[in-house]
Amino acid sequence: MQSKSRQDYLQEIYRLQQKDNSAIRVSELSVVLNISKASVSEMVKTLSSEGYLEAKRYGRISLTDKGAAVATGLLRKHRIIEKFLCDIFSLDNVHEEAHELEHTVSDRVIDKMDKMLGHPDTCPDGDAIPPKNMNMKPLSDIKPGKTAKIMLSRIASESQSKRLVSLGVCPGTSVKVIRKLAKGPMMIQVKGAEIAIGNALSQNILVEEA
Amino acid sequence: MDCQHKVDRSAKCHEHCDIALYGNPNVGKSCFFNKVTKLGATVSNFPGTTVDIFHGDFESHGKKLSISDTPGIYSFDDTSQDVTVAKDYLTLAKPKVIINIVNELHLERSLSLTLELIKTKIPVVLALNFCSDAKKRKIQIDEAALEKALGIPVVTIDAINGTNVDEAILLATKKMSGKHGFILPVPNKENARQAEAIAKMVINGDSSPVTSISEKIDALTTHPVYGYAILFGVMALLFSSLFILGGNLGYLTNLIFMALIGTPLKVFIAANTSPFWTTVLTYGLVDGINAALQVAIPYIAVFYIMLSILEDSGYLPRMAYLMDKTFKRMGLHGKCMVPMMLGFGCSVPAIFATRILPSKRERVITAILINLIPCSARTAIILGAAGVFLGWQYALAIYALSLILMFIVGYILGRHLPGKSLELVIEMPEFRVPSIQNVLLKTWLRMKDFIFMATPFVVLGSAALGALTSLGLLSALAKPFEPIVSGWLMLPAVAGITLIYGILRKELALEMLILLGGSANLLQFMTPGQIFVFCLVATLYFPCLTTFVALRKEFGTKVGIFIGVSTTALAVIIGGIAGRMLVLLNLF
Ligand SMILES: Nc1nc2c(ncn2[C@@H]2O[C@H](COP(=O)(O)OP(=O)(O)OP(=O)(O)O)[C@@H](O)[C@H]2O)c(=O)[nH]1
Ligand SMILES: [Mg+2]
Repeated sequence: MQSKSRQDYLQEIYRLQQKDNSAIRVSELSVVLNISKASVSEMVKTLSSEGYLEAKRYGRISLTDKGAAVATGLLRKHRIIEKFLCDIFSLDNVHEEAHELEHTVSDRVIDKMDKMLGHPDTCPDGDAIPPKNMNMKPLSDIKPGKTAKIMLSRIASESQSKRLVSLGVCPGTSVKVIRKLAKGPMMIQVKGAEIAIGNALSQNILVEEA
Repeated sequence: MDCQHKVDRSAKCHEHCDIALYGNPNVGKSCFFNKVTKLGATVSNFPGTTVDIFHGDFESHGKKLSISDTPGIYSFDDTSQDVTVAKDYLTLAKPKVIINIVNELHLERSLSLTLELIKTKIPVVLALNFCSDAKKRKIQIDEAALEKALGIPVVTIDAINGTNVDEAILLATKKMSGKHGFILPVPNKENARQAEAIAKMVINGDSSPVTSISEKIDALTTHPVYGYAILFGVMALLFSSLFILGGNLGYLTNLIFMALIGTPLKVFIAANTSPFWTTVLTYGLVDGINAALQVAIPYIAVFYIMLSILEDSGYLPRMAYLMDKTFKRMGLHGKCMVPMMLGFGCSVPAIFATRILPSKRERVITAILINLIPCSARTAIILGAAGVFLGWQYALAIYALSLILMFIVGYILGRHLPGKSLELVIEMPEFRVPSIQNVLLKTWLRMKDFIFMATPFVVLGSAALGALTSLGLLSALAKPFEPIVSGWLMLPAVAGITLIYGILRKELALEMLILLGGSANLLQFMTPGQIFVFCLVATLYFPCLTTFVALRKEFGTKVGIFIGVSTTALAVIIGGIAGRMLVLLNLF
């Protein structure tokens, strides 16, 4: 089990990656966490050696599948607790409390809370609550004809991730795989349009199959 | 040389602009522009046709207005060159009103850009295009609700047959104001969410495509097996129709020209002028033009008709998808296929089309490779000389050689230029039946240059050759090139002079050679091996002057000179080797 601050790192990286729709810079992380760049780099090294993070091009880092699983588990707890505090106890500004509680509340309790809330989709801020036992995999692994929801992008190039966002390929949207060439590009349908994307991109977009 | 890509036009466009057209790629902006101005901006069925600003004037209800067509963009938050062109224009020209054209079928996605545009404070009118397609798919858009949600006028149009185009202009004129503020569009994550919410509210019907003929063709042309077979078939069809149609057309134009104008004119000139002037005038007015009509124009025309059909069908992006893996080996990706295909027509628009590529590195590599692709003028040389006198196999061999060279150069550049390659991202347009009208219009617009711009070159160039011949200066002029041309390449010395002509316009090289040979039958004057080497060298060496200017404009003098020098060196080396190989193999 990771210590609390390690979990915080993974969760924060997940948030940033979702926001940017790309792999992130260490400097960005250090600003968000308000921790010196040197200590952030140190922790990133540790997490990488443990297989939670991986280095990408242009000096960027990204969660591995393993890291993403830890982060979404935590985020799920966080957002369910937020929802609970807001809806059941009618509290506002619950972020800090949820942040403390997410590390201590057990999975069993979270499941009960989720059930009591009626399995909500979004937290009070409108962000999606990750489902239980999420099974994220690269978009490139999805079979033609299947639909999947984009969760996280590990793309290193900023210009490409921006272009993808403007085409609607970003966390939260559903895409349908139309067809693909072996080890080559794939054709996807997103927001009613058909788009071809290269293999290295589809390998770096993590999705949850519908 | 494509007349629509005049090298310096952007500067004067900044002065004044009433209406600017903005929108996603391939939504019919250029179509709309043409309807309004009656000009001929290129309209093709793939994203990224327009890569520059086009300016036009027109009159609406007695008012003189100016309108600009811009490159299609998905968002201003993007670094590729065509987006930069669109963004810079908005900042510099500050149009009085924007008409934002969207494809009804992709309304949700398009609304993000609409929201970005609204935030610039320039008044915006939203024009919903492709309404007949949307109707077919039973998609309905609540215009009133959309107007209310966005706070801007909305109008449904059809850019192809012109429905409501006047209405859109009228709405825009009403909103026109010279005194609006201006804020540069900033990226905003909220736009996508807002667009989704609005789309949910105003769209009735499922916007995902239903199974249609287009989809079936799509599935077939991108199939892992049939897709490549079709690609091969398309290429074979392209080549054979060029060879057969182009050749016969050339034979026909030659017959007609000589019978109606050429021969009578020749007789007339001979009867009325001194021997010196007879040669000069016959060369200039009869033989030069005859050569152009016989070997250049027919091939170029046939090629452009075929290319226009390919462009308008929507096949080009499928080629990009199929070729992606091959291009990855050159440090490029499938999207580079689009400028390269245009390069088979003319290098100049192809070099400008590299603007659609996301990084500088890809743009440079693609631009270098475009110089090794046989453009239609080179095709005229290859087919007009090697094809006609040696047979189609030899013409095909020259094509294959230059494409193999292109691949090798690409492979080397991909490995050694700094940086890593990006990945394919391209939107697939729907397949459409090309309209004959648009195909002929595009062919004519592209041919115009070969006819009007090239004619003075042909007439003056051949007259000059005539003068040199009758003064007996030709061999003296050819002397300096002899070591390379005759010594190394083993060509007749005068071929050097025609290759110099080829720098001005590629097709001149063959036209002048035919002229100097004194007959249209090159075999009386050169061995088959020499014809082959000549075609190969003419294909590979220095890109024509206009291409050089375009390269300089897009990539700087250094890149231009590098390409000029290296292609010439490559041509000389390969030409010499090929000549010796042919002798060794005893082929001719
Ligand atoms: N069916 C149909 N096709 C249309 C309509 N408007 C445009 N098109 C077609 O859509 C394609 C794209 O048109 P263009 O005018 O080149 O599009 P554009 O917005 O200028 O595209 P870019 O220059 O690439 O940004 C062409 O094949 C047109 O024939 C329409 O209302 N209905
Ligand atoms: Mg256009």
